[in-house]
Amino acid sequence: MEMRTIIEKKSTDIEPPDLLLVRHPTVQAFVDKKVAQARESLKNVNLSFLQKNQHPVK
Amino acid sequence: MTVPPYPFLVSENQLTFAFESVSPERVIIKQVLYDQINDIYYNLALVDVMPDGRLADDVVSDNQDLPKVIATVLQTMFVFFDEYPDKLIYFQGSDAVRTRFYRIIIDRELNKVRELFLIYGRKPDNSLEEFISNSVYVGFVFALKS
Repeated sequence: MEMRTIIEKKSTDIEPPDLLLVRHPTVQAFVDKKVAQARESLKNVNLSFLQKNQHPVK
Repeated sequence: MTVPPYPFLVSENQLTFAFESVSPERVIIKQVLYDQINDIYYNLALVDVMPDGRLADDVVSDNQDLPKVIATVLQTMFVFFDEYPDKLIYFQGSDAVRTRFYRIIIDRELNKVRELFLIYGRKPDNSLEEFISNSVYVGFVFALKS
């Protein structure tokens, strides 16, 4: 998993924003809606395919 | 040629990420957000935010750097899976057009992405299958390749 090192502060000319790991209520409300949609969509999804295909769903 | 990702910040729980999408015209702040849907799935959302953190209203920001943005999102997936290796990442478009757009992106990046992840498509009948190019899907599932 060598690619992971990219998250450590990499010195480039572009600095990522530093205040934005806090979720603004407008962002959280948007995401909550997306999660509710996804939960509804996934309610009846059959997971047997994943279990048969290598992924050990826990 | 592999497009390098943007540098990004990550929260302690490895569920919230932030980076800047940069073009000669403007800088757009983006967040990649993972939220638990149920015991198995986490929802992936990519949003644009204003400098004060508020959600940006314009859904399509098109900063002419899509490959770089995708590369960055893929990197966040690695970080996510590092903390949550047994979980699955799920995302779907807000509408059919958006979902088709995601499918095209996955299609385009498929060879690269398949080296890293198992990818499944959720079909309209709610079954999952291994992602097949040009198939119709209503959602996508990513799992870490072991």
